[in-house]
Amino acid sequence: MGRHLPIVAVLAVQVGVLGFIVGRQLYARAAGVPVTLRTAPIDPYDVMSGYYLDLAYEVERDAREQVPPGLERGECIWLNLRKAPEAWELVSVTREPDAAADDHVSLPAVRKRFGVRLHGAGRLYLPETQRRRAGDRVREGPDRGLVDLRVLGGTIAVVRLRLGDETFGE
Amino acid sequence: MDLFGLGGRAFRARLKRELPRWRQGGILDEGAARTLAARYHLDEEGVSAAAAAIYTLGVLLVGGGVLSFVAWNWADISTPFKLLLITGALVAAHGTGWWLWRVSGRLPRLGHALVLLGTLIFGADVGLVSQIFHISTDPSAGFGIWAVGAAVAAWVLPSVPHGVLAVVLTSIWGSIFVEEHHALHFLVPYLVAVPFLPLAWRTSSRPLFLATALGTLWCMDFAAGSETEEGAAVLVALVLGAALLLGLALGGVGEGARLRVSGISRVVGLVVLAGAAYTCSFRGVAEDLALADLEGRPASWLVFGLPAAAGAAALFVVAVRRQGGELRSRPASVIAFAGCFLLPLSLAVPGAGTAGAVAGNLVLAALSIAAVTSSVRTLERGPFWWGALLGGLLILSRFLEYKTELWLKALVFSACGIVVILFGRTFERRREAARERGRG
Repeated sequence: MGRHLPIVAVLAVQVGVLGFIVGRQLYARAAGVPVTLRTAPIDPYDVMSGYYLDLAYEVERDAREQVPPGLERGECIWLNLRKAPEAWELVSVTREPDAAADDHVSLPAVRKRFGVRLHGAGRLYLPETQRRRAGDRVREGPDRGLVDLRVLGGTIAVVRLRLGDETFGE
Repeated sequence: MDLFGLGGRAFRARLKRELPRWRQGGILDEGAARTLAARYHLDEEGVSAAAAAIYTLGVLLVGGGVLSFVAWNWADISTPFKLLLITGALVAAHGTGWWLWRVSGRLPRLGHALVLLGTLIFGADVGLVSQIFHISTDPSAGFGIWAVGAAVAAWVLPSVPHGVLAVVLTSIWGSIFVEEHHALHFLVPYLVAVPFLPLAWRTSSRPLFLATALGTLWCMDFAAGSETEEGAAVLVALVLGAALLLGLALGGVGEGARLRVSGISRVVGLVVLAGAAYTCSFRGVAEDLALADLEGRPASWLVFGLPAAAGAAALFVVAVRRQGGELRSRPASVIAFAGCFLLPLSLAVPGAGTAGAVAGNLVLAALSIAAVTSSVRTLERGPFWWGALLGGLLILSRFLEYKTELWLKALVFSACGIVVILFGRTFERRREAARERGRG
């Protein structure tokens, strides 16, 4: 066994890393708080990028005005949301999570050059046929999509995008 | 150690071919031949470059095919099966490769290449998992994770191809990382150099040393530029890195030891210095590179810049102590090293445009003259054509930069062409004559 230790160590690290990434996502999907966010208006000519759909959220746009002063690009902040009838709404933006009540949740975000982006919720990978269909839905009308997430601690798992009566990404 | 003398693999290959002839001709006795063979490690079997290249190319092509899956959505395959498939491919490549490489030993190079494929598959798997679970994070994260997997394999196995892959991935990660994380950017060059230089020493690998040197320079460049957003910082960081490499070459670091880095350090340092000098030689560009523009800009990039300068200076002192007399007889070599400090100093003075252009032209001219004079002494083609190329580029660029009469341009270009032809012909004749004398 000793002579195989090097390759076992390599496999342990590489499979272990993959397992950690997968495990975190599965755990968030199983035990995380279900959160629904409304997507911000998506420019139909920019929305398709390669094989994924870029997602932007209304709460990110709202958070731009509430960023704590002195925050550097790349620094982490938390968007504190409250449950509302259709989609969760922004309550505050803080340097530490501040989920004050049961119907509140804190989502990790990153200060970017222009504004704020939720950490780990910016993309939805879609097969070719679904991507075209989603793009057509966006171009046909002013669909304000809803994205279903699962949030656990600092992990956000993107579950699906709902555009009108159609669902993508599940 | 002359900055422009040729050593390394070409010299050793030629010496290995010549030694038996010298023995037969009675020029050397058995004892002297054995001493030379031991000193220059002539009995070491190098890796068959062709076989290694073929296996590596094959593995990269297969890896490219696997990576293509990252761009393809597997709509019809269930998530558990996808995970099983990608993990299975990873384990199979590593397991089969290990067996061929270290267990049966029947096809060690193919086995090593398969283990490398396993690590390429690991990188693809990171992307695939992100795709399966719609994970989007810092753009550098995927490269960083992949780099860690490759680095662990490089150290544990140990494996030079994994080391080179890890250096490339870490450098890519670093150049993306510094754009988003200004507070930590000064660490990035160290994150390339610190893990991989000792590995290059441990594996006595010059390709890994070369990759690490280039990766470190790359990250110094990005870190300095992203923090200050000024070309001056990029140029100074690069030139100080070149000074460190040239110091390694001048000091003869590694000569006679398990890892001979002088040759590579010399070549990379000279190319980087020549590139920087050429950039500065244009007056308008030198004006834009004035160090005065850095006033008020963040300066934490000096965390790697100043140690590079200090290290270069220390190595120069070592070189003077070891070879003092020899260095004095080669002033051009010293000028090339000094050029690394001359360029930034010229950009620091008032009127940096003119001073920088003069310094750039002086350094290029010195490099060109030094290379050509070295080639006349050693009768090696490489330095001759390198010096001729630099000299020609210098003259051509100045004529294109400044308005002159067409007749003057015609005269100078023609004269340069005639000089190159005559000089080249004389050089080749002297070289042929020396070879004939050797055969006789």
